Amino acid sequence: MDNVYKKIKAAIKNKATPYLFLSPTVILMLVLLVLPIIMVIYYSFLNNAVVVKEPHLVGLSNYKSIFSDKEFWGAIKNTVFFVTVSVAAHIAIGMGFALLLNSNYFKRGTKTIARVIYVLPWVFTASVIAILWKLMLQPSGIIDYLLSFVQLATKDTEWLSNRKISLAVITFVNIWCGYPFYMISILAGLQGISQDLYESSALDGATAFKRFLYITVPQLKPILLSIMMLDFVWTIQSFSVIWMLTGGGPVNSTQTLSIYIYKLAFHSSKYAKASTAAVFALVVCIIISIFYVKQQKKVRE
Amino acid sequence: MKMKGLFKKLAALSLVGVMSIGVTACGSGTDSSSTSSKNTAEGTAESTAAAEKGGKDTGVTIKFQQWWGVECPEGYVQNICDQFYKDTGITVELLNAPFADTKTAIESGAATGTVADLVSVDSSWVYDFADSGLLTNMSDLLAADGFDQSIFASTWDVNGSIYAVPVVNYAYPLFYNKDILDKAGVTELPKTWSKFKEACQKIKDAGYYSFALNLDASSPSGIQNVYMGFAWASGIHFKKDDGSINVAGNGDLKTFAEYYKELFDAGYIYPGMASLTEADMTSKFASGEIAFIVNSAAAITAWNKDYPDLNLGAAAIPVKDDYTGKSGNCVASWAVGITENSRHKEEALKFFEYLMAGLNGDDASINADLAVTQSAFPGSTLAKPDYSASSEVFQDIYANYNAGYPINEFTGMKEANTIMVDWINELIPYMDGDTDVDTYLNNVQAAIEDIYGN
Amino acid sequence: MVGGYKRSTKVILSILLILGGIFAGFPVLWMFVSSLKPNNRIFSWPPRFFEMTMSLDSYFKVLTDPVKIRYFLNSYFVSASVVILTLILGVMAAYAFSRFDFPLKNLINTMIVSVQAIPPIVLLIPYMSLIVFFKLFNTYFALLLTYLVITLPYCILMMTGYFNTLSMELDEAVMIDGGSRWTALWKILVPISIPGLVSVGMYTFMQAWNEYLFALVLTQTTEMRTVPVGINLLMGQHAYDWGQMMAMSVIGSIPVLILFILFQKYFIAGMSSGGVKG
Repeated sequence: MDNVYKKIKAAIKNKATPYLFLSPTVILMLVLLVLPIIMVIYYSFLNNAVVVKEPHLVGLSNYKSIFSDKEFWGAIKNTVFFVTVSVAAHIAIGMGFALLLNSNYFKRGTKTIARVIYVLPWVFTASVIAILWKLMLQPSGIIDYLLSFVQLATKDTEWLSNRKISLAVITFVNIWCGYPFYMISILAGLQGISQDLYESSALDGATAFKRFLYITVPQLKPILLSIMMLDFVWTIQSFSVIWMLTGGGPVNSTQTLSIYIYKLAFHSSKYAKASTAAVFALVVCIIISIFYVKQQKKVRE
Repeated sequence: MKMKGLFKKLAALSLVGVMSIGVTACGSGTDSSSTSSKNTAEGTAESTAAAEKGGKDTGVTIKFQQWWGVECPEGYVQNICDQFYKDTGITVELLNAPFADTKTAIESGAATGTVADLVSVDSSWVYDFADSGLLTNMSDLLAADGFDQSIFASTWDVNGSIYAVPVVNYAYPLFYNKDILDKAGVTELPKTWSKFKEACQKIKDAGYYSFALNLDASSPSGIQNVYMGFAWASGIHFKKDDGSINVAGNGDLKTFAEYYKELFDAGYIYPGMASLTEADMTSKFASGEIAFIVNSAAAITAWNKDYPDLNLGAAAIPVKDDYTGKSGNCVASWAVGITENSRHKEEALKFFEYLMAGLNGDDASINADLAVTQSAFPGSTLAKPDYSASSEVFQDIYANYNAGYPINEFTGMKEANTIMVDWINELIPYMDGDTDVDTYLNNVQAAIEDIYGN
Repeated sequence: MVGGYKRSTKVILSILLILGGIFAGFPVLWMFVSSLKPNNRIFSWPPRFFEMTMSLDSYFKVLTDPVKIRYFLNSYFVSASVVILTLILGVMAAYAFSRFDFPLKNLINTMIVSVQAIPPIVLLIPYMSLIVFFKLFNTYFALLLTYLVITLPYCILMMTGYFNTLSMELDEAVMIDGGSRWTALWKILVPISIPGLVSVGMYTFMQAWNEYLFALVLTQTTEMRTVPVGINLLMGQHAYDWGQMMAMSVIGSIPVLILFILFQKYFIAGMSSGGVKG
């Protein structure tokens, strides 16, 4: 009898264990994030929120008006460019730097210095990054000066105010300030890969590139997937740097979804519409994160 | 073992953090005069002290959300609050936020019930704040208090009621760099559009930038201060006398737009205007890159401090060649309003009245002194500012200001920020030559009507 | 070991290393140079690296201002506390994801990733209402909790990935010896995962250190403000104090870099990862 009781108790304990480990996180997330998100979803069905005393439900009319807004689709287009290029460049540069720093070709001291320099873009707050790049990119700034030696620019070359290249320029700045996150994560991940794997393949005479492709990448895959997923979500929301560099201009050429939402909420006091656009972003991210969770599962199996 | 070491390090670090915070919390208590704000504990301590001195501590603390403290000489605004406390026993706590984010701070505060009692307001926010019920109707408050409203130089009204009152007003003159003008051989200040163009050409030939127009979209003030400021000087308006929008088909505005495009096409306007911010523009002017800019007189204080070599002058904005009427002078203001949710409206009103007309409604020396300190004009007609010690530059601004009339057509407009950004978004393609002048003006008209239509 | 290398490979890699250094470091160098210049020399043409008038004036101004020192201490305190809390909670959650299968797993996993997908700008007001409701407005707790929920997802995802690369046999060995899951996690898995923990800790610290929007609205009084708000307060209505802004960023970054240097041995290749099999 006693034995059975113990077994049941153990079984319950076993079932409950993961939930015990998760409970603090889940409670915090539910209260602090899920609750406000539900509020935002609710706002998206109101005529307006926050600035009106007695809002009323209007069904899907905010969604209709957002989807028929040319500016919204312009913002989506800019966001798609901004996010894809940023994420792709982040992973390429982050991986490249991590491998460089992890290689055996350099002395310890060299690598230490390089590691510190490479992580630098990461330690500054968004407004400082924006101001710094604005300082460097404006006409007669240091970038124009340096590029004028190789005939790529003149004193008056405009980077941020040229509608044709402004989106590419802000994407570049975002790449600059975002890659160290990948670099650090990948560097950490590389330490988890057993040397044995490399050694056995080195004996087989595999080239460096093959080793990278067949050992490093598969080993890093779970971490890579995670950081790409997070980076994707964060880049969609990237706001401060763009806002302080261009404010979404010139002529909306750098207006991403988050700038569009900010302008709706804080310039036009249309919180309901801003929430609607935000819900759109949320839905896209949820779809992608479901896909991600499935992938993550596959990687494990 | 390694982990233990790591955690020890982290724990030690955080402990140091906690301790140092404790230390500074104590430290700041001893020199509250130098810090721009005080915490409640200090407030109470001081209140008791005042009560012992025979003061009349009311125990009331009102919060004042503003960006003035950052702009004024250090401790200046705090001193006004301290004096107010001595006189009335009401504590004023200053809440600072960066100018660019003050609107966000006020709006989020209002939505969650944490907004200050008294808030400083920009002219482009006042309609939205009044419309959403964030600001209280000051006409009613002032009437109930029996305050003499005739002393206000101007008020910001929405639907016929006062929602905010400018405490000081800033002129937007044409500043020039004397050294550049000398080098370029511009001996006479340009008074008309054609003379201005000639001057710009000479400056350009001398290798300097002539003029700047800040059209950055994050703070779209350039369209108001520089672009329309230039137009207002020649009596060109975008609203009719009855307040209706008159952009499309407005002949004067069209002539003006074409004149500005000529300036742009001739290369007189500083490159990169579409992402040029006001701060960039003033810094570049002060560094001796640009000969002329239109900017707030408030900048003089900062220039004198940070740019001792700048040989500065101020002139009236050039007018259309055949214009003989009075010039409209663009003004910007530091205005205050009282929030609807404030539990201390009376005390907040009292502090506002104190800023305008002193304790008994008859002494505007605080207002006058603030104006003199900030190179501004008083918002109270009672104030008799003594500008005799002010710089020559300011004397010129003062003379020009008195010769014309103050104007800012954007003040009190619905979603003024959106209107200005929309305007910029139409202006840039026109300046670039992508659209013609009629399309540009028609689109601006449509954009404004669209906002009022919603 | 990869052993003997070709000279040409080393040359190419060295060039890449230097180019990367310029890409990453030059803007920061320029920031440092600007912080030494007086306001009226920041925009001079041609731009110069050295000016006759360079001085440490801005640094002196920042470091002698008790208000600014307070901003720094606030930021350190909040960031350091967030790192500790995030690591503890995140490691626990990651362990559950890595070692168990349970009915709500996918749902919770999806939630953790997608809750951060809503732009903070719209979340601001409902979130702030909640903070005010819990009477946490203008306190350290408001910032602590905010940064905790912002940084937890990354910690969980990273550590789950990390734990997944560690063999189940490790836990089982502990449990066979009569240890609990709890012991297996903290005594065996966590010590092996230090490189991951350090990188997550760095990330968490940076997020908390640099966050601006929530710091702006969730605190109100000067003594609760953090460094990013302090930096933005130097951006006036008409003019910026360039020198002090740059100086504050440089000063703020130094302790972070020191931390990074202290902990970077954990990133170094060849660190004992014995017993860790893919």
